[in-house]
Amino acid sequence: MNINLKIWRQKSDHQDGGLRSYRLENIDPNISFLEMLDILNIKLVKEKKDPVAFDHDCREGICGSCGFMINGRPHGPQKATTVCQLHMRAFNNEDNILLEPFRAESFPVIKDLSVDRKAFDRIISSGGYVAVDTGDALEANSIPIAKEDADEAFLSSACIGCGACVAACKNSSAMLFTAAKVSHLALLPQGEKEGKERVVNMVATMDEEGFGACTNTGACSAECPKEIGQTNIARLNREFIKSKI
Amino acid sequence: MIDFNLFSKAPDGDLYTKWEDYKSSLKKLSPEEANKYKVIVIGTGLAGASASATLAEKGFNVHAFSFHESPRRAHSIAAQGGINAAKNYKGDGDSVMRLFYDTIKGGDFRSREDNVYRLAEISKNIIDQCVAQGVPFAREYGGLLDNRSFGGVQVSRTFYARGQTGQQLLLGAYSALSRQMENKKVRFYSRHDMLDVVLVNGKAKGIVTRDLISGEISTHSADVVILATGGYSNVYYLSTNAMASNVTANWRAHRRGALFANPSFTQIHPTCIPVKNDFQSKLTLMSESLRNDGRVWVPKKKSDQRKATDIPEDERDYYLERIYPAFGNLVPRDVASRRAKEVCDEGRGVGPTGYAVYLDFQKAIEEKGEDFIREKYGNLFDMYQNITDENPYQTPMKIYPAVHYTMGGLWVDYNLMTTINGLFSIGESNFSDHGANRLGASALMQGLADGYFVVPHTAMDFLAKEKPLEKDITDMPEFVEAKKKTEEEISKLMKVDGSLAVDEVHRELGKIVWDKIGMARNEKGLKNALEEIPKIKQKFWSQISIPGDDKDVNQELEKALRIKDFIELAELMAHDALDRKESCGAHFREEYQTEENEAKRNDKDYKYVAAWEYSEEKSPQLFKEELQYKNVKLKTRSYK
Amino acid sequence: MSIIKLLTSSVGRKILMAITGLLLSFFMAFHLFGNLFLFVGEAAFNGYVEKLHKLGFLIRIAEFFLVLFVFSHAYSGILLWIKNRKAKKVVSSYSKENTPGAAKYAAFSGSIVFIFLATHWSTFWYKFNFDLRGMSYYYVVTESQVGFGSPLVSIFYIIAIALLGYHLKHGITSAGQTLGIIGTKYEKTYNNIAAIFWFWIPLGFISIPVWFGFLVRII
Repeated sequence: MNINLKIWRQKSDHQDGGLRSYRLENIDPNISFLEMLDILNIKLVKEKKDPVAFDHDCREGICGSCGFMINGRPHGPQKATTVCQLHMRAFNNEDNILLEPFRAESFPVIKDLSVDRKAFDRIISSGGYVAVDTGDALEANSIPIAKEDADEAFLSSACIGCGACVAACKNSSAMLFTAAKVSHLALLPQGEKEGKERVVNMVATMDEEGFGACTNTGACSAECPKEIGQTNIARLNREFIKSKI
Repeated sequence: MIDFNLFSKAPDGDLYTKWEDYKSSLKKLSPEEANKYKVIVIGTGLAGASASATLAEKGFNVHAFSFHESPRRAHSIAAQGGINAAKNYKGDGDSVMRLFYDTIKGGDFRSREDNVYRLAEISKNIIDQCVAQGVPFAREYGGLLDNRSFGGVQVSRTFYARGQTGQQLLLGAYSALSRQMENKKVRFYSRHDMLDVVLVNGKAKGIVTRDLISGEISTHSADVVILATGGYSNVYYLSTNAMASNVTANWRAHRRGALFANPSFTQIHPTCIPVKNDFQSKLTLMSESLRNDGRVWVPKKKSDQRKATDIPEDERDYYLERIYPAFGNLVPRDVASRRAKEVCDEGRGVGPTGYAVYLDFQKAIEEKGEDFIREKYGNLFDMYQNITDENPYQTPMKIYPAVHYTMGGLWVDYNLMTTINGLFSIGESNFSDHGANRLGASALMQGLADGYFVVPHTAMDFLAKEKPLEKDITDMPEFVEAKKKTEEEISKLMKVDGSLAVDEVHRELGKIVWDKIGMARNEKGLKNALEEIPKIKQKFWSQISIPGDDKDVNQELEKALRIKDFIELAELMAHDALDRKESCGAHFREEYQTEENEAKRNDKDYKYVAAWEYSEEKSPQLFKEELQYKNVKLKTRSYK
Repeated sequence: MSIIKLLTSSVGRKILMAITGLLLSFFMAFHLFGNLFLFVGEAAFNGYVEKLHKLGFLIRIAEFFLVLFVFSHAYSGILLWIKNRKAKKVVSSYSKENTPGAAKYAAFSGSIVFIFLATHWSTFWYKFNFDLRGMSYYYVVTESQVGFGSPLVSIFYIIAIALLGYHLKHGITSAGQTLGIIGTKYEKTYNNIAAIFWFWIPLGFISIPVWFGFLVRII
């Protein structure tokens, strides 16, 4: 298949960027989207041109490194799929494909399609943990946890921190990301102790980092490659209200 | 040349109490005293994050470096199946002794007894720690922790969180690390590549790094340096490792004097999605846990072109069940991989390339129901379908072995210190616990054991005997020289003005390493590899092209720096595989096999750890650590 | 952390919006109850309004709070809107947002509703309280030029209430999310009640201009 790419090229956050066009021919529909970009980059290197910078690592959809906008959607057209798990068979011959970095004030562009998502780490640092020093743990089976609670906590904790939720949100809100962590720990007895400060501190950091507010549009869950649900946000809100009562 | 005395430094005494006794004999520092020391940790995967967090809890000032944006992106996150622990919750007769024995046997008697016993012992604490952090392990309906079984063992001791156990454990360690970042006890340097270790008076006192955003080369000094930089499977180009996983930090330490142990011990994982075409950039693993319910088979006939579902039961060869009635589909990884290669070499492989075997869930679906299978492996099935466009609920999966883990690594003593004083190596980056083959669900165990429970004690003991640096010493000539060397290397790379992308050279290298130092090795092939690899090196240094500027984001330069080291490592792997004239675990020399095509070990001559010293001009020099087995009897590994 | 600081966080502001929004919705239900007396007849409606007026002081307090709710709801909404605009640096040049319309246009529909409220106060409310000039309340609503005697007023009223329903469609479900009701066992009940508020109550309001403004004249 042949495709026409339009890719956002930007040298750094301080410089302006713009769209550049590329055409690739005879692409095997069974290769992955990132393998298609590999082919483009090898071609560019051979022409002594600067290859397209993009983040990626595990290519198994779990490390959360990859992610950019494909035709206006984070991680592209396929539901519950990261860019690295997307294959060219999801596109048609002669398709126009537009690639842009995740857009948000709190995700400055590093180069081309690569953005800096360290703000997420700072949100986690401000409370996304259980304060237990190594060696101070109780015997693992001393607190039984209902299977449903453990399973639900797992689903919240399956977030890969890719930032698609922020990119999908018209407000660039990091609410789903924050809520997933708050939920994960709120669902487990281990997380109870610091529950009150956790939610307040994490929300405060989220605000300080310049993310927008949640207006409950649900766009984040719709685009989340791990299908983290809206109930997480409701749970964060409940925890937040509880912290005041 | 220094004459390395490869003494493990494991204390004498009773195996069962050795670690506890030793631990209480180690020197301790109070948090106030510890606060005077600075520790550098490279890599923030399971081992690095857990070590950084724990050292910070103890009061040390930790500077943690990663080439990733965030610690949560480390490749530990991709581990699927689970983590072993000798908890014996199932009451099926498991014990520390049994886990210890399984690990030694699984490693084909090429690992150090003392280290392995300690690992088995600590396994229990790891689960306690992780549960306390909020790791959502799978649970039974009664609310207690659930276990599943894994290859190479006959008990259920693997703790798991669906097919994302590595992710959940890493997020646990990352949360502990994040807490210390908030406490200002850990400073995290994201997107930094470590390019050299700096030695002052023979002791590791710092590192050289490149900032992957600004391209700036800088030096950092500390009282101790800990490498937690993972494995080197990417020397094969195609592997299940993440794209950026590399050997560079370890290799640079090796060049500075750290011996590299058993480099040719690389694990080929039997259940990966087969290669589809030349553009393939990496391979995807399907968790070994699938072999609990999946049955491996190929057609009895050669080049059978029928669809899998059209082949009747009596024309299928469930070869693992046939050859190994006791363990069946759950034989260790090396055995399962080699047998797959064998049936494919016979011409009975399936799929377009003929290099794949079936992993069939039909029977499990009939007996236990599709919902049961979905609950247990849903995400793996989805991943398979997404990549291959085939529905594994209806048609069997196609799988083939791929490189997955490297047992080899920097040589370390019982304290996990390399042959460079003050330089520790933990997790997959060292060679310590898995011998010639690692059992499933043991990598996560080892990474966390080293990081949470071993190195914090042994590094503290080391530091307690050292005077803390009073100030930053990066102005010392050793640092200036190391920095200059790194800058010269980069400018030399940037000047190679060829026409090949570094990936192309890497792919060529990978093909040689896979063909000659892969699942089966022989003298002729290895000697051939030793002729071919220098040619690749030559090509690399004369024909690659790195566009752009080195003082900028330059992903091609990052790759080039890594591939340069992979090429040198490949050569060492060939030397190591050539030296070991026996078959053991994952190291299968075709010349040394039994009549039943099983590995033929030679304990008389090769019961040693092969540790190699780097030399710029000559061939690498071999040093041996004789292994002693006082608590287990050396036996021929049998899974029949 | 003080309660003020909590309330000025993004989540705190949302909670404030949710609570004031819900209280205003309750007021709306009460308001409709009164309006429906129009269908009973002139005497009934006038009698109802008289009764309210007799409460005097109490009604002023209620009005004070209503205005306070409207303004704090709008104020929080505007502050969040500014924050959100700042957070989104550049809009994707190929927008295919997965955002439902009601949510996307909540700020817009809210602004129109506010304009409507302003006119509503300056007409009906002002007339009822200060400028009756001997007309009956019933007459003001059904026949006068500030009421549904004017087709333009009727049409504007219908559009504004429809937009209000649209605003509430997002607003009330959103409040359920913000107050943490979604995902609990009360979710279903809440959503059923929400539908009364964003669909049936606005429909009830619209029925008045439709009947008195148009149908009654045609039949």
